[in-house]
Amino acid sequence: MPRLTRWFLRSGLVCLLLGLGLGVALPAAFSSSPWAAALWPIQLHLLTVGWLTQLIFGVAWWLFPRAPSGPVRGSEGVGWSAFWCLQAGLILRVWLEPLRIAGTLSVAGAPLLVASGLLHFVAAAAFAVAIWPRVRER
Amino acid sequence: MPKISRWLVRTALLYLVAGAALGGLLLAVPTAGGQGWWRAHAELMLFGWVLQLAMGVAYWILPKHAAGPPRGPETLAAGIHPLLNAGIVTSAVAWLAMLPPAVLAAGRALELSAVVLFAVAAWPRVKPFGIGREL
Repeated sequence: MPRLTRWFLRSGLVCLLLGLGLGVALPAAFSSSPWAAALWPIQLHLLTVGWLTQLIFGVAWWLFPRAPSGPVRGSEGVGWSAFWCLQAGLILRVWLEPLRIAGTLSVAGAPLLVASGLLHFVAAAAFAVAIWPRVRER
Repeated sequence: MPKISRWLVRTALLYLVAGAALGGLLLAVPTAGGQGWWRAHAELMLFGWVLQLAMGVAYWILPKHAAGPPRGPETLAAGIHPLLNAGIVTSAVAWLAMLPPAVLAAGRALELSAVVLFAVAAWPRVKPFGIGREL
């Protein structure tokens, strides 16, 4: 299993634990508070982007057919760019989106929240570029 | 990787990028388009990206048949990609433009028919590797 796959899968497992942990905490601690609504999108994105998408990225990087030329799995640099952009986007989002929904996001925080979306877009595009040549017959 | 899987996986990657772009736009302008745009974002990411990729990879990697076409009748499986994507596009447009519920139902029906085709193609291949090869 290549190193990038291991990082995607381990980060994905951390996000799965955090997402399910929030699922326990939300009804227990915040059921009648505005934080329940504020934390729901975070739980959703921890599970869909943090867990599911990272699992897919990691396994695809590992198991898809070899690249037609150059390094066996394509550009490692582009793959790592996808990894770090996805992590940075998730961290910013988990930190700032509840504040926006609760109406307490500062003026300085707003552009950072937009940056989290941009980072996820760059991560998605980078991964698509990296894996595209490997979507082929063996 | 067979041609049908390549089409499904490549289209899934395009939806990933498009869905992430729409998600980023919604973070920048949360009021853009109203609730329908959030639903469209979910449509692109869950059906366009995750479901489509899972179907493409499963069609590629499930155990093959020992006799006949290795992955079952291709004419049957060839309908998966056009039906699924017609359904996703119809549903996403229905959310984005807040079209009447019948349009969304039509999109969902197309998605369902793609999933039925996939289930029919995949069902006999859900078996241990190597079964039937001794025949």
